[in-house]
Amino acid sequence: MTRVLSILGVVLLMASSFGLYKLKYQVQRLDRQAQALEKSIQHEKRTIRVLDAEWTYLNQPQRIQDLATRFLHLQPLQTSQIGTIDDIPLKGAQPGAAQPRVAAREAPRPTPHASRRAAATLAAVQTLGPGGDE
Amino acid sequence: MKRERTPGAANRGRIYIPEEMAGYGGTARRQEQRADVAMIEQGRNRLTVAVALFSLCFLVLAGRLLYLGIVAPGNDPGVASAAADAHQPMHRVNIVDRNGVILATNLLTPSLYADARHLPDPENAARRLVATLPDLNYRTVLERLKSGRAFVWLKRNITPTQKALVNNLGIPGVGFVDEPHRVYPQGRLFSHALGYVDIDDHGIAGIEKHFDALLSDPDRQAPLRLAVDVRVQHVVRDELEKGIKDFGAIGAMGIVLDVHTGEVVAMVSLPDFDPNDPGAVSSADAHFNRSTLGVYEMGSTFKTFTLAMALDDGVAKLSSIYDATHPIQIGRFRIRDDHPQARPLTLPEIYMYSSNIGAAKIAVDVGAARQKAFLTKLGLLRRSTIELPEVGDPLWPSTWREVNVMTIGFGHGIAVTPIQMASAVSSVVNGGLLVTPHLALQDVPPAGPRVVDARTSALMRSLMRLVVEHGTGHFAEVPGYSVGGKTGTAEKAAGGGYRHKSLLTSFVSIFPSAEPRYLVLAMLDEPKGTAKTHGYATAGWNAAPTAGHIIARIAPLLGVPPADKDENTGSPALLVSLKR
Repeated sequence: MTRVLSILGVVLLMASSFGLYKLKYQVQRLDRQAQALEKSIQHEKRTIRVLDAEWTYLNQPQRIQDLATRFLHLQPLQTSQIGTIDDIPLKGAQPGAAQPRVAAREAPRPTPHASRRAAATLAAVQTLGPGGDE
Repeated sequence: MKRERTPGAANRGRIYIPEEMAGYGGTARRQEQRADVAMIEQGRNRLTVAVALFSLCFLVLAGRLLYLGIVAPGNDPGVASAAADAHQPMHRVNIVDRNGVILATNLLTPSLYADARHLPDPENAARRLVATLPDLNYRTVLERLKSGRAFVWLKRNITPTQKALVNNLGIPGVGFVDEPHRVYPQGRLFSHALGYVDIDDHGIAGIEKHFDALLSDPDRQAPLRLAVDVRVQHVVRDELEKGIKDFGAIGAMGIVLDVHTGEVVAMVSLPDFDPNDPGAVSSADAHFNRSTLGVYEMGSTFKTFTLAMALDDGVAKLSSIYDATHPIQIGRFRIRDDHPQARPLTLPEIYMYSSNIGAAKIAVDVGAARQKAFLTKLGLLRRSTIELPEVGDPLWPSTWREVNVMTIGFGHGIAVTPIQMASAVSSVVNGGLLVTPHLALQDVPPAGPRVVDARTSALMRSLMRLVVEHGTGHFAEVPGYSVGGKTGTAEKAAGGGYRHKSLLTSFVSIFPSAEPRYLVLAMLDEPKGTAKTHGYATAGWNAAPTAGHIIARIAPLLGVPPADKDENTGSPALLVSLKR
């Protein structure tokens, strides 16, 4: 009986110490992993901060304005260019009563006989809006 | 001691004496044996006690281990301290504008140091360092490299590019330490409002100083949100710079205020400085915040208060007539008009043509006590509570005589800060509730007590519209928006008198005038007459158009819909999106 208990005890001791060591190394490994992750999170956070600052720096209104004047053929928004949803005529409304305002500045509408090319050009102009209005 | 145990149950716990020992000798030996047994018995008892004690200790340890391992894994102190460490290096929160655009942030930047103990060739190292970082001084660097100390700073807060360049030099004994460094990505745009910090990250001016404790609070993570809008601020600064250039002014100031809440949407003072490098300034007054620290005699814009006061107290009606035919002579002062009409004028005419004589007479009718009480009510006689350390005290006469009543009636003999002016006019036109100007979007002060009647407020709004439609402010007209405003041209005081040639022109405007949402106050310091203005240097020719340009650009940004879009332009509306 004692012998059996002793052997059992020894076996349990060995098993538990083996388990303990295994657990300990596992924990150490996880800990190192966590630290590495924590460090990389910190690094990412710092990088995000730097990129945020750089993004803001590059988006300085003065810089955007200078770039826009140099490279874009855009002009400041005029009050006349601001409308509301009410300005859009209903579909199928009387052409005389509510002529679509967007089309008002454009070339006369093509006749039904106009070529397909002309229709495509008109569509392009309509999408662009008042592009040539300078 | 050698012991054996019998396996029998009856003898368990007893010490077994071997038989050969028992049959050994006589009585003496027996007695000796009995004493031995007693001693062994005693030792065994002591052991039991010791074993019990140790077992108890181990049980306690095991229990504690179980508790820590299983019951309480949640509040692991290790995690918390790691998280706290993570935020430690930045230790100053960001400042953002009302839309979350960064105005000030902390970045870790490398700082260059040297270990001067083992430098093989200090002269060569210093020469190459100065060639790479040109703003270093060769002599200082060499002195530090030869000092033989273990740690000397060479340059704090260098850029990543500079770090790479220094790394490429491959000089042994120099290294980098990452240090937090306050960065203002908007550059000069917010110089006076934000202020700046010293080398150890303590705020020493502007918002940075006022909110220093909050900004450097290690527990705080959320950024400090200001009421300013980067886009509006830029427009104001851009237009004021144009104004300075066009009219040869020495400085300018601009404020955009929400008339209902008192939020400062933009605050510009020119000349300004770069908070990233506050020491490098072109002129002596670059650090001077004209909008809150400077006190100025605002001139005719003060007539707004004179009229509001008279209308509110029932002293005068719109139809009341004051004779502005002749200048007033009082003591050694002579009050005359800049745009003389030389005839009796009604109240709207006095305001429109900015008649000093008329305003002085109205002020006299109201009287000193009521005038002083009214200006106090509007917050014009006490220091503004805006969240900046740079706030000027208003100047007003200690004895309020009749001549003071008259001059204060048209804005002379009293000096206030532009921010006080802006908030007082806002209070008059917003329906009559006092507003407190504020920069931060936290702890917002509520709209204060009523200062004028809602009816008076409406009258003042239409009077201000009249000035732009037919009076001195017509250059502030913006197509599509109904702007109301009042011009003010003051001669700058110097050495006990006034200098006639150096003017301070201002234009206080509201839009849309019928139901104002924002107030724009533009001020130019010493503008000159130009060919374009036919030699005039008064507010109507410079401050008014500047304010008009500002409104034309910021109104769409602030989501103010045009009042009547077809009326002024004659062209049909085109479709772009607008938030309503």
